[in-house]
Amino acid sequence: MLFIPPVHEWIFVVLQPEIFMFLLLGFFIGILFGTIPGLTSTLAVALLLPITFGMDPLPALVTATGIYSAGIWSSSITAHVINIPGAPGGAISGYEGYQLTLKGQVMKALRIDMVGSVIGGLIGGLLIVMMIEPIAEVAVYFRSPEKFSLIILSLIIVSLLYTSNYAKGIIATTLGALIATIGFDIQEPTTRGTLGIPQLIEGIDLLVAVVGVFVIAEILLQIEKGGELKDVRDTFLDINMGGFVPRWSDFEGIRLRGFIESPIIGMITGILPGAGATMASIITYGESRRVSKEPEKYGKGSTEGIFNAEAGNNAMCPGAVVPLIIFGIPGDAVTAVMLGILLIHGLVPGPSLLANQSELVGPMLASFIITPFLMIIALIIVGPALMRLLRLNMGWIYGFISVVSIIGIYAVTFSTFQVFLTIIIGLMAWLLSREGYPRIPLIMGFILGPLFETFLRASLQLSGNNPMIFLTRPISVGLLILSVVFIYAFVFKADMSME
Amino acid sequence: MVSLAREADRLVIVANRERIFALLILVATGLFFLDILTLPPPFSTRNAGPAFHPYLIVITIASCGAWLLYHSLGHQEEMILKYSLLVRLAAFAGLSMVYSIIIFIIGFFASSILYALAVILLFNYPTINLKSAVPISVVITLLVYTLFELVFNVRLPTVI
Repeated sequence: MLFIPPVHEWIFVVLQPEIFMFLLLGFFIGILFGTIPGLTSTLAVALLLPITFGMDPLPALVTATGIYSAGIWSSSITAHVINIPGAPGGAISGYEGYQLTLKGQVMKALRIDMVGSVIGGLIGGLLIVMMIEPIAEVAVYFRSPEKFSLIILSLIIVSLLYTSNYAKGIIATTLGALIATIGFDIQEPTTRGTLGIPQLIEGIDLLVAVVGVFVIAEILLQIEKGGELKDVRDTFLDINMGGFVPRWSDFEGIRLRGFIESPIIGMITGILPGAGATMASIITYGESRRVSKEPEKYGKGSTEGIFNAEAGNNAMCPGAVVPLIIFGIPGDAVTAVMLGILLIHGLVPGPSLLANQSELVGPMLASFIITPFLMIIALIIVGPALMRLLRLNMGWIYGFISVVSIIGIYAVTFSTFQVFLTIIIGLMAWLLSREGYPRIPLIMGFILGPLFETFLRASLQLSGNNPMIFLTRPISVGLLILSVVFIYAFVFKADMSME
Repeated sequence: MVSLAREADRLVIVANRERIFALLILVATGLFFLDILTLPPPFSTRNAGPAFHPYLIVITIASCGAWLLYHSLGHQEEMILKYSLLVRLAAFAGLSMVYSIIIFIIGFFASSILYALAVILLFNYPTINLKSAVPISVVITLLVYTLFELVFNVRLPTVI
């Protein structure tokens, strides 16, 4: 029977003032963190994580959704204007946009970016709301071996995506998994890697790892880059409000096919666990260039390239929450932190979450349909103010972030030891990051490592320690073949990594 | 493998950073391996046991570390460490740790104002503008207080 989700009810829930206020708040925070180079939506959601402890689950999830959508969209704004993306996902369209800026057409780049983002976000959001139920029905067939193979796929993608030095990507992911093994074993009454420290017996909290890796390490990296940020502030551009209203002439040369194709590709990329905005924009941009009638314009300020890359990475957001909700496997760094929000509120991801907590999951998904409209309003009304954000003193922003992160850890754990641990993990992540070991795989390994072990051991118990169980179940085999395809695509076919 | 040269505010290190870091990772993994050797065997033969997953981790990191070590041979690189930057980085880590302790002694307000002020000064180094930094530190503290204590009802430490 065809399931028609009560989308309108979910939308009405989000539009209730007490919920909508949180969406707006998240959206504003997302714009702030997405626009200012050095701040990312991941950092914003990481800061939100300890704060959500005192919030109800729905406002917390809706705030995170607002941050996520706005952060992904606004990360390309500074890329167009000053060639420095607010986050890696904005780099592809930003490259094309900056070529237009050099030709004196910065407003055109920003308008096309906005329309691409709105269309991508809207179509992606609508598709996910309509498809979530059928996907959840398929997910019921995922037992431990299938889930293990899905995690293998996810680990492979995150290990290979964020650096062209694949050994470093694999080490970063595995180090995350190693840190996650600290504490009690998942099945037997024994502890691992605690070094005799009693506070480590219960393991390292996700919150501590996330704040350490994304907040403390980022602050250390920004202290190093202090001079560069000063240069950014000095290249500030003056932009007026009327220039943000789209014109028909902006879209000449953009194929109609891209309006549908890019959001679909972006959304499907988002569903792939571990892929994220960067991969979505790379794939949609690449596909757009491949089928374009004017491929020679790419790299020289192609409006089609900007539009499709933005449509792709904004459609990715709703897609990325699917593996999170259905399997508890985050689609990217932001959804990895959103997993923490679910867990803090005692919500266990899985097909049953959708069935039993649709009053939470539904409005969260519906938020993705509403945020594209906020993008239009936000850019036209506060667009000029956004550009002025670049003038903010980074010391003030990071002063606030530092206090919030330390107090946030304290508020949740009530432990000085956990604050120390956060700083130590932050120092380690900073050092790794400086040496080219990416931080996103580190945190993804931390989250996926215990799941990997749980499903591996459960599968082996099921089969009497026979690893062939992974090769005798169709879905599991399919996922493992897909993993091999990704390895081939990354390592042998083309350099798809972020670098 | 490593050569050092001191200048006014900087330490110039000519070293094979890839190799040094790969070695550090291999040493850390070796220590982890020694720890998992002490883990008990599984309860039943159908169970993979608590050491199985850590073994997989050790094998993976050791293989990649060895690969990095092999490919790093002969790559010398100059690294310039500025003393002032090192001091600022260490100061941030140290200040954060001190903050998490003194918050229980002098309370949330005084410690947070001092910590925020210190971070602002670290970021704006070498410029020191106390006229703007002090009020902003107070504003930051009040914002955090409002957010945690008033909005989310988290009890923040007060003076003993």
